[in-house]
Amino acid sequence: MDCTSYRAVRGRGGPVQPSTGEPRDLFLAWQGDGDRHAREELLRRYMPLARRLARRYTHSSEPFEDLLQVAYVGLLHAIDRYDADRGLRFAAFAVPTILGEMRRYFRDAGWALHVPRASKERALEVRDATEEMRTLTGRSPTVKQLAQYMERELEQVLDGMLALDAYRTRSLDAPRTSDDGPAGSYTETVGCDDERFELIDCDAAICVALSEIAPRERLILRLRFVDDLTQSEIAARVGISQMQVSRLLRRSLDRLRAVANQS
Amino acid sequence: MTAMESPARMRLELSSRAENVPLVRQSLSGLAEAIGLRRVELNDVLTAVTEACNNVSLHAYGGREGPLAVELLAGESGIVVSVRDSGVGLALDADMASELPTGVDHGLGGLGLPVIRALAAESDWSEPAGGGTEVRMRFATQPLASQWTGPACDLGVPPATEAARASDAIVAAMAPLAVARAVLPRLMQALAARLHFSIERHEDIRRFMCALLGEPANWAAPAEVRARLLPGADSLRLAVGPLTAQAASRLSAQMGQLEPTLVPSVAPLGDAWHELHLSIDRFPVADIPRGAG
Repeated sequence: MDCTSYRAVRGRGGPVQPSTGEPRDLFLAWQGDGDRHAREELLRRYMPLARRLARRYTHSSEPFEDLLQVAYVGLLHAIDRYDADRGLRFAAFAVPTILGEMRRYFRDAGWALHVPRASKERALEVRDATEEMRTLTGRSPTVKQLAQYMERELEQVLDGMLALDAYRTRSLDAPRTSDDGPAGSYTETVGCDDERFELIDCDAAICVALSEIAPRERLILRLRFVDDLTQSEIAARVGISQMQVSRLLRRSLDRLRAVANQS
Repeated sequence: MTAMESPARMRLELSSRAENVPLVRQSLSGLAEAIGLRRVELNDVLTAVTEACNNVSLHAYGGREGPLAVELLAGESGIVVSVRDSGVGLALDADMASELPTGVDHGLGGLGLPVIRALAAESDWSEPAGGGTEVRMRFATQPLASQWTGPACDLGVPPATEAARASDAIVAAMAPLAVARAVLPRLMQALAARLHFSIERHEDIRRFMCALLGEPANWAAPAEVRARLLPGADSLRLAVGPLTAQAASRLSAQMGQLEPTLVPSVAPLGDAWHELHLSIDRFPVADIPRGAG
């Protein structure tokens, strides 16, 4: 029944490539007989599904290629674990499996921390790019022009501008008056700049653990979570491979997590 | 800063056109920053709410645009988001959607619905009495600071909008003030970017936002900030309140003097409440050609 309905709807024009072999037969061949060709065929057929799910996370600052790899891993898990006899369509089983893998990736990559206030690094990048464009064109750029110039997404430039606010509050240092009488300066009241760069919920135990982590790993943690760089950007800066960055990050986070769990 | 009693909540009403979906995301990001949500949690919320909004944008009004309302409440059991339209209703019910092939991506009919189901702790679809579709999603989050959470998760959403309007206006209600402080500047800057404002105008907006939102005494109780943003061809207009009468006239005078590009005016909202109207022009001195880059 599953096969017929699958074929029926596929006829409505889905881009899943036509191919010999029904999915059910392919699952039987792989899971029953260990036929690796069947597994590859399944992988090939459902890659577009994984790709479309990965694309849904392009708003994250993780590189798309990394997201895609993670989605493919999730797809493989789904192919290995899918039980065709339970009557659930494969896609219905695969979507939560792939998303589960991606969420795990985000957690492991440090996304379990609080939403960062916008990145300091990007703020400085916006400031510099603005100056460069002013010098080049003699005019003040728009955000779209900045995004093109910086080769960033518009939303990332907006984030950088928000972070830049933290540097520009000096003009508000003038004493302010309020209806209740004198009340200090504007800066003291401007909540949008509070704790701008304090990302990590740094309880005492974590601070101790941080001090025990090697300087280079601490630097990587800072670049990742304070400056919000991607793993590839960190790799370029520190002069190691992205895989090494990934490993070091995971190790540091495991250690911090262990300490946090003990306390 | 005064203690914030009310739970964090936000309501946006805007047109369902596709270019507005990023505004919803900017608002959600701002709110997440204000209440200390974790990135991994915001990521789920952003992805699922984007799916729901894209679905409204693509399908609710049969290719045209109509009202879209997004409401968010931080509760003890997590974040509850409602995405609502006044369109054609549930064109695809859940059973039908699950029968669609993987190769077709029709919003909820394609991957949208399974994605929302996978990311939200709970989700349901309904056709409210007034027509249209409402998607409600609850996201389980790590416990939020008690100052942000309300006693109940029931949003009690009123009908999406007064009428099916195809207006450019974006209406936002945000509470408490700390939420408005994180959300409203993001909305303003995102709109200014869409209108090709120069960085100088963004800076004017930033300064105005800080003066407006940085001072709790500006606001008449109860501190729920309401704003109406209206992007025009060469200007961005904002009406915001309820402010105290004194704050409204003081801000109006300050802004009018400081920034010739800001044209403020004050309108009474009620007895002691006022709304500040602000028109921000794109080009203050000389015209800057657009699209040079």
